Amino acid sequence: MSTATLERIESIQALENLVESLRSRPRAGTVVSVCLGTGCTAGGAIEVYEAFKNAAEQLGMTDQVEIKGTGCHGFCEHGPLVVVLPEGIFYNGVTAEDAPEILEKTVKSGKLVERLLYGRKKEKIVHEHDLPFYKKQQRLALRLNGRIDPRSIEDYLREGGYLSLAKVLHEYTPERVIGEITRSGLRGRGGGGFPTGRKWHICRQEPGTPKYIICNGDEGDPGAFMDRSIMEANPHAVLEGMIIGAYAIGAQHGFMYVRAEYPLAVRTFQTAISQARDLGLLGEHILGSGLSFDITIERGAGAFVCGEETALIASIEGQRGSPRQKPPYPAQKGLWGRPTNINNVETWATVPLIIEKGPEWFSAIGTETSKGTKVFSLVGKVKNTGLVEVPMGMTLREVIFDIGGGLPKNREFKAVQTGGPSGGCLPAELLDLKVDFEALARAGSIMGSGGMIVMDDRTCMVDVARYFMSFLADESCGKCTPCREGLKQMLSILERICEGQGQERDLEKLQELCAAVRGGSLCGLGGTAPNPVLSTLKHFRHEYEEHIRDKRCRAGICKSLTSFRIDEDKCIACGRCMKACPVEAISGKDKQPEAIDQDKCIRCRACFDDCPVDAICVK
Amino acid sequence: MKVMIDGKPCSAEPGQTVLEVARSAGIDIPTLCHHGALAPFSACRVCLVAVERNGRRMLLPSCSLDVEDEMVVETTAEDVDAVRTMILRLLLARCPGVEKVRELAARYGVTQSGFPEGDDDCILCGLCVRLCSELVGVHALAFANRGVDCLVETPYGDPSEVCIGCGACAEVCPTGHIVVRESEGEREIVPFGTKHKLVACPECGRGYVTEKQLAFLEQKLGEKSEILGGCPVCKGRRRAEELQKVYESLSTPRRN
Repeated sequence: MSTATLERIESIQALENLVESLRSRPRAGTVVSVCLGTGCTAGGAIEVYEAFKNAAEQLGMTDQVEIKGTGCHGFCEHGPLVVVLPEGIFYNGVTAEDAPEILEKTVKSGKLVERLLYGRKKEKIVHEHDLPFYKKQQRLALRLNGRIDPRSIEDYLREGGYLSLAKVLHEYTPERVIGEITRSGLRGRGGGGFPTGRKWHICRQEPGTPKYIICNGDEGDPGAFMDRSIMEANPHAVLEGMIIGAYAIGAQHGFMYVRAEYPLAVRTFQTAISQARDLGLLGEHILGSGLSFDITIERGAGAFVCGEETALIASIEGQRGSPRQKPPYPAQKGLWGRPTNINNVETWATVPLIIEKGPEWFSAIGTETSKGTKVFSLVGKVKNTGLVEVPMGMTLREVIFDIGGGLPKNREFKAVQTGGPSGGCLPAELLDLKVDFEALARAGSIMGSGGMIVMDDRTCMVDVARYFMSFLADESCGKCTPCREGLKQMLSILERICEGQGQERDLEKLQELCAAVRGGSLCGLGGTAPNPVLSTLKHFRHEYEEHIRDKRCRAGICKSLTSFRIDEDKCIACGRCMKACPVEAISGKDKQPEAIDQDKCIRCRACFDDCPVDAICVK
Repeated sequence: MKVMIDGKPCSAEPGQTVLEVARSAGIDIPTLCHHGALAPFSACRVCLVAVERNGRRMLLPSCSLDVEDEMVVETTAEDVDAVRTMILRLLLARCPGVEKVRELAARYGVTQSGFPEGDDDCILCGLCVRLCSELVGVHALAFANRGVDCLVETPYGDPSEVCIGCGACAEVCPTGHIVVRESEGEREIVPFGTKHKLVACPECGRGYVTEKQLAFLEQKLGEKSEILGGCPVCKGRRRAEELQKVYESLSTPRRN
């Protein structure tokens, strides 16, 4: 989307006038918002979008309706998503063929296309804000996801974009900006939870120039996509936050570090930065002020460890992405030895909102120590998979059951893993935990960047620990002895346990290794690597013991430790198990299974998962 | 300033590290990746000590820990010792055949690793890489790959084009992973496969420096490079002969 119609904004007044004029410009009465986030795109959303555009033209409705491609709406389980605004009529699972019907029925005639509404036949829900998934959310960082076209700076301006920057340049000293961010209680959203205002203050205090700011868009936790969604859906919020930060800290240049695996986010930022430059919101004398600041995009190269700030800095410097010993911290000595402030995507995106609404408004949300909201990626064994943003202090139960809709097939909740590979697993007893930085830490996990993986009774907790250890051992940079060698040995022990070769002393060895890796590692990757093991040992030690002593995996995951049998009392003779089995290991007649041949059985769990009455059990 | 190390008050200057202060005070802290002429790397983690920071007890590497006034340091304690022991066990498992590792482990009571053993002879201390970069300045070596696959290598494992064959990497290598092999006027840096022609000493005919190293030094030393004219043994002998003449002339009484 070009900014050919928009000229360089020379002053704060000019910006305010532009926003006003964009707002008052006559526009189509209805907007059809088509989610073009990565998830929905994988489900055919681009075809849906094209179909809408074509249909609108063919039906001669282009004056009446605007077809808008928007960023991730968050309800990824049910894409492709289409929302008809301003009413907020929510359609899910939309295909290209549905487009003309939606335009004619809903946009033209105000009628609903029932089959595309969310919910069961008799319990359809019409409006987005009434969906259980969205009802309890408080979308601040995600406020404009689904409302604006991320490729249009006009859309962002129309929503009041860059007015916080204008306010800051016009009325605030850098110290006042830092004061507001500090008073808001904003803490880093990347995992560290360090008070943002304090970090900015430390960096500002360092003498000399140049100073740098960095946006950490390396988001490496498996299953986490909070930052990706913000980058893809609302890049200008991040940019605006960074420019405000640059003013506050006294930085001359900024770096947007995006992992290479996010090409859409990279492209979105390229467009956004180019547009911002065209309008004079980046570059020399921004809005006619004394602030000159620009941003360069840097791409990662496939290393999880480069999410660690000093490794990220090394990467930008063109060095090997290995962390460096802290102290000194980047705020004092960072990029090329200069004072550098690095913050996470979600943190930066929250800054303009705090400036707009004031620190008191922000600190009124959340808990005593953790203010505001947090975006979580709610994934795993949960009905409503997607991105949720909730106030700090909401309980795990509310997030997983009220927003998430509980577990599929109503299976029993077993654990929720928070904080990615650096985090821990929390059992059912802790479902009423009020999610904030301290509560999660006290429970033996961490907030991390916001990953929340729900697990049911058919998840093996030893296998979970093994999985995370495998990931971390692969991603370890190899610089320091405890992490490089320690994770290797821990993985080896966990693999042996899962393969039925567990030994009596293994748990003791694991604990010893955990202590050394945690206490001795150079960076947070190694330092937090033991967490999944420690938390599963704490809450699910019996599973480890069963694996080692009884050679049994109660969840039916570890193949060497699993045998399936048929519970004849529960069996309803539907025959599905026999049909599902790929190796014909289940014998029987007339849909009545009689036995499972253990020699033929490959432990694929097709019967186990398919049985509607849980009549297939782990021996 | 004053810092307390293991209950012993030690005087320290700003800019010193805990390791420097401890060693000056005769307190032994083991190191593997430390070298006085190189910037601290803090990778081996054997030099970890316990300090209190912001009310929290932390284990930090003493090689890169700047002293602060009134700092209280413990080089030995239950947690410090446990971590150190485990690190030595892990190194022993990685490099059971390396004498330096066995010696250091034995000093702290570790004779068995307790883990499945490999047979590596590089402890990834990085001394070779850092020395070649920071001191020599030719950057012939670097770390390649990640995690347990990490190793010290020349680009793509090919013989280096920038290596000058000075052998400093072999000199500083604590395990013998890097060695200099010489035969028939040629020096090889093992295991990188880089080979260099040696320049013969005009006096004794022994190959004493590589062509590239000679050129490198001549460029660095400029007019002072005349000292490169012969091998150190012959130079030493010549100098000794000159000195002998000087002593002899001094012991002869002066004629008026």
